[in-house]
Parts: sequence; C-alpha cells; structure tokens
Amino acid sequence: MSEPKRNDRAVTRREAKAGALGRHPSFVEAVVADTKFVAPRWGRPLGENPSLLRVLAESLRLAWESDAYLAQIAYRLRGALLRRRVPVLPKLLHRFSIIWIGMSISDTVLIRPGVSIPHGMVTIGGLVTIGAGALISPSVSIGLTSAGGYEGPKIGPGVQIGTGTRILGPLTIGANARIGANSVVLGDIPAGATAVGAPARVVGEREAAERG
Amino acid sequence: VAEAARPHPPLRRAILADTRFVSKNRRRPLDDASDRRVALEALRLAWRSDSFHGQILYRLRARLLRARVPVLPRILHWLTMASAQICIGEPVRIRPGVHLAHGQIVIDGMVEIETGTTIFPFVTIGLRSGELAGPRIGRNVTIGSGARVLGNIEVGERARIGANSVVLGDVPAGATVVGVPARVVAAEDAITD
Repeated sequence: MSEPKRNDRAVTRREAKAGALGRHPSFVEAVVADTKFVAPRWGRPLGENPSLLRVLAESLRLAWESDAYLAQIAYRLRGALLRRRVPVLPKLLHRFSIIWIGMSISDTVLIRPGVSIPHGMVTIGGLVTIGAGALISPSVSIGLTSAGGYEGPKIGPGVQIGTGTRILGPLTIGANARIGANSVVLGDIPAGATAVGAPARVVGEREAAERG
Repeated sequence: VAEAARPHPPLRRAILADTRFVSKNRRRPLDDASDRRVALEALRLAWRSDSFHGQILYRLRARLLRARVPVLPRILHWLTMASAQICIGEPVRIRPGVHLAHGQIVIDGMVEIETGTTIFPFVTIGLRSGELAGPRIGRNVTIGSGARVLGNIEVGERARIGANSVVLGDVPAGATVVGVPARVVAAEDAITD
C-alpha cells in the first residue's frame, strides 16, 4: 500500500462537476445491468440473454421488494438527467434517496452499470468512480480527505466493500479487491487483495485466476 | 430467500415484552405493572422515542408476515425506515423483549436474536458474502454502536460486543469482545453487574 498521490493543483468541485456529468451512464443501460447483477443475489438469476421485457419486469419486482433497489433506480434516473443537464429534477431525486434509504451520492460520483447497494445507508461524495460488479454494503462512506482536493477514490470492477468501511482520498482500489467491515482505507489497494483494519492493511490475496 | 424455522412472535407478547425491557434500560422499570399499564407506556414510548416507534412498526410487520398478509408488510417496512432507519429482513427472527436504541441498524439474513438483547445505533448484523445463515445471538447480549456481527456464528448469552468491533467468530457466553476482528478481552468473571 503506498501513500496517496497528491496533485500539484487539487481538482476543485466545479472542475470535477464539469468533467463528470457527461459521463453518467444512460438510464436503460444502467438499470438493465444493475438488475442483471442484483437479481441473482435474490436467488433469481436472469440467465444468458434475457429479453429487455423480462429484465424490466424483474427490476420492478426488485424495486418493490427492496427499498434500496428503488433508491438505486432513482439514482440511475438522476444520473441520466444530470447527463442531459436537466435542472431541478436530479436534486429532487437526490432528496428522495436520502429520505427513502439514507443514500447520499454526489453528482460527481460515477458508478458503472451493474452494481449492488443492498441496504442503502451509504454516503459517497467527491470525484469518485466505481467499477461494474462492485458491492457497497450498508454504512459505508466513500469520499475525500482534507488533503486531496475534490479527487476521491477510484474503485475497480468487482470490488466488495464490507459494512461500515470508510474509503477516503485520491486512491485506487484494484479489481476484485475485498475490504473488510469497519476498515478505514487511506491508500491504494492492489487488485485481488483483501484489506482490513484502521488504517487498512492487506492481509491476503486471491489466486491470480480469480483476480480477473 | 430461505425461511427460518421458527415463526415470528405474537404481536401482543412482543410489544409488551419490548416495552418492559426498553423501560428497564431507560431506568423506568415496570416490574410489577399490569399489561394495561405497560401498553400505555408503549404508547408513551412510541411518541417519545422514534426508534421504539420503529420497533413497534417492525413487530406489526413481523406479525403480518406470519399471517402472509400481502403488501402491508412492505409499507410498514418503509415506515420503519422513515421513522428510525431500522432495516430488518424478512428471514430475521427477533424474540420478544429487545431494545433497538436509536435505530440506524441493518439486520438481514437468517439471523436469530434472543430476549434481552440491546442493539445500539449503526450496527449491522448479517451475512458474509455468499452465505445465507447469519448470527444467532443469545439472551441478554449487548451490541455496541457501530459493531458488525457477520456470518454463521453463535454469540453466547450475556456477551458484550464493543463499539465498532467486527465479530466474525463465535463469542463465548458472558465474554466481552472488542476490535477488528473482535477478540475476547474479558471473560465472564470480570463482569460485575
């Protein structure tokens, strides 16, 4: 684990926002990928090539059964509206997510399609990217340190984040890494590693084949 | 989602036992009070404490789940989330007489929680990835703020779990555990109360 990189000139919120908004995924793409990723976790895998109708029916069912999933759909709608620079509505959807499930995700956070946020109650702020296949458990914070400007963590695909974990500052977490519950991550974590503790230390590594 | 073997407790018994236990924790014991008096105290507590309000809504939801009533349990879950951010999954079984102090908790998976357990805010009780069975928590356990109790484990009765601990293994009866991962720092003898 290395020290977080410090930029000569820290990114400001305004610059982060200007760069990030256009990169939100489209609504349908995001919801389809999220549903395909979340449904198997509810014991209802969608198979190889499900029809769009089947996927959307499943996403409605999940939205009814899981309030966190409904908030996730609201977040996806918000992302799509931010991308089109629609005013006001994204803010209302943000308020909804907070009231509904305590899920607060900033405009500048880019979450690739196909993630699971099983119970909400997460706070994600700053210029953050989160790869597909990530699992974000409840009571997680992902954000900034006072030293890093507006640049936050870059989280690779397939990363599992344990409950209560804080991931702070301009750091990188490699693909398929696993972060234990209640950890405080302040530096880079290599791909496939398992890190725990405050501050988090790497305690194990997965087989190269599993690392992907 | 797998169904646990035991049914949810009856509503009346659950609410009366919860009220007696919460009142005891709040230093207003109702030891010899009649059920009627306890029921009035439940109303007062539901007004005063949003987490108790949430707890009552959860008990009502559990009872409706047992009766296989559709739709209503889901709406009660939303209300529970809105009043105190108490998120408890359907396979969870909570025996009558527990205290969810302040709310802000997530409990999901096949979890069993016995009578006399106190759960402080920001606690997660749940599964390790890829498993369905969660912790079995014995009688009179105290779970400190921010603690995470995860996986198919047994927490013995009267155990105390320190704030922000991450409990991933069995906890012996009467022990005090703290840390990440949690370790026993005091055996039963050390507890004086």
